[in-house]
Amino acid sequence: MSLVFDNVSYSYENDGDFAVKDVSFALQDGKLLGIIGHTGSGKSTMTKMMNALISPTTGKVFVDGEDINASKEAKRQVKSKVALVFQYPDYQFFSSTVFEDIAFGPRNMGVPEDEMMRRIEKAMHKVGFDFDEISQRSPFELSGGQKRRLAIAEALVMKPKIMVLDEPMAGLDPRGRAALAKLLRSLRDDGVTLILVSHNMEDIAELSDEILVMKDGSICMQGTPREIFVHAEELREINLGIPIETRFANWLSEAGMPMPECVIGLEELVEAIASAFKERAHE
Amino acid sequence: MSSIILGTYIQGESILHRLDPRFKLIFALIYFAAVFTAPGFYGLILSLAFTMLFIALSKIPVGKIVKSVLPLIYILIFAAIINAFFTNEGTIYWHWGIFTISSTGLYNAAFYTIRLGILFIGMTLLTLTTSSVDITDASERLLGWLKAIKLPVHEICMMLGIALRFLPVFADEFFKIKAAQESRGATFSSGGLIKRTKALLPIAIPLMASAFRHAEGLTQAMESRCYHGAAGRTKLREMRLGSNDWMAMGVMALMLSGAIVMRVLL
Repeated sequence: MSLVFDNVSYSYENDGDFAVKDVSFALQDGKLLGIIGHTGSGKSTMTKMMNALISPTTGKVFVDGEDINASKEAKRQVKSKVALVFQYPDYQFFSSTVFEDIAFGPRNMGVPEDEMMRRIEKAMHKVGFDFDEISQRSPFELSGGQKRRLAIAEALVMKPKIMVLDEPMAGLDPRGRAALAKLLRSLRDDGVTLILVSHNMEDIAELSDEILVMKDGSICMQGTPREIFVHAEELREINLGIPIETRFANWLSEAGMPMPECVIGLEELVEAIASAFKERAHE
Repeated sequence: MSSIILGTYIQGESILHRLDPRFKLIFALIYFAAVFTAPGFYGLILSLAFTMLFIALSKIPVGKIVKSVLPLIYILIFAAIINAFFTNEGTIYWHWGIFTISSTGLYNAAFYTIRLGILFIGMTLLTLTTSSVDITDASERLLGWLKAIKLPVHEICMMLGIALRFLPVFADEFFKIKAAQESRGATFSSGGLIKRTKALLPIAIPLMASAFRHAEGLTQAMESRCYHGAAGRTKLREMRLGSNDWMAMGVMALMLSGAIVMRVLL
């Protein structure tokens, strides 16, 4: 439980209008948590509180048991424990070379040069960059998918325990999407706890171990993808859909084909259809 | 976040909203002149009375008006301090080095600060009730005569309009960039002046890069709609003066003449 929200509320204008209200949850280490919710449901505000970019109006956020808003120093230190990757990577590049841009974070945190070198090489390797080829190029001339990966490398170089990604798949082509999904899984296997904020139910269903559903600033559902997406009706009421594979299975089931209650992912769908046909052949 | 931007247009249907924007610009000038002409305590009352009338007519909640002038409070404080500490007239209460607190200084500090405050509120009403498109369109028409001396009035106004239009966009991006860099451990509020200025680079460069991206996109959008500057360009909306506009002109004339009469008599 390295990240804990304890009765957290946040109001932007301090006027009793809460963007996040009474949110409590504990993040399981080494898992991938998906956060979904309609626009304005408080997802962004939540992510900004995870590394003390903003402090809760009431309630507390703990990382490794320590209140991250306790002091200025605590707020600074948490940045190397919880890394945020924002939706638009263009908003953070400013150096003339990729190397210098990745070095910005560790230098801010006072990491020694030789240690920093090692970290940068490792982070670039992790996201699939060839050090010799990319490190001296300008971040501004990279492609969209490469920029996204650079932003992830810039988070990784901080050696975070927890990485929060806001809409990391947005604007990527199918191949870039698949590559990123693979990268996220391998990060989780390395022991980095991941939080994924997304509008895309397929990505969330495919990658998450657990899902938080946000509505009007509060958590309205929490559970595994199967526990969440079985509630298609309730999700539709808060303007959220279910993954296309699940929806397809539901249609088939309505049309009379025997299907398991909640199908998650393409593989499961294919298997379910295959076994339905097999059963029919037996009869 | 947009509330940070000074006097961003608030849509509405009030009389003030519907006035001809050309006249509104002229009214703003008259208002400016009147507030500065009206002398002394009674002058302030005159200015305040008209300003309150305009606020009532605009139907914009007072809270929003206050919020949009609040960032200007530093200018007011600055003006008050300059007047209070650097005027050497009347009874002297306190003196130290170049600093002097005198009766005239204190009076001036209060008077000019209130006057400036009233002026700010009045001027915000213009931008609160007039969209930036209308303001640029109106200034283009009002300055049309300058074309006679080969000034590219349309182009200048277009540039101004685009700049105004993008202010909230850049403000929004500024905060996003700041959050992204803070997440990477950047600090913007410690160290000396040089260190702090240097710390702004990681914000300034992405912001500039983004400005170029926006410019590129906007250029393409404008060119694909065959924009080619002022030559042969017609207007979507013709501006026509109505009875409301002339009535408003009457009110403004009253305010200015009131101020002038006070100036002469008092």
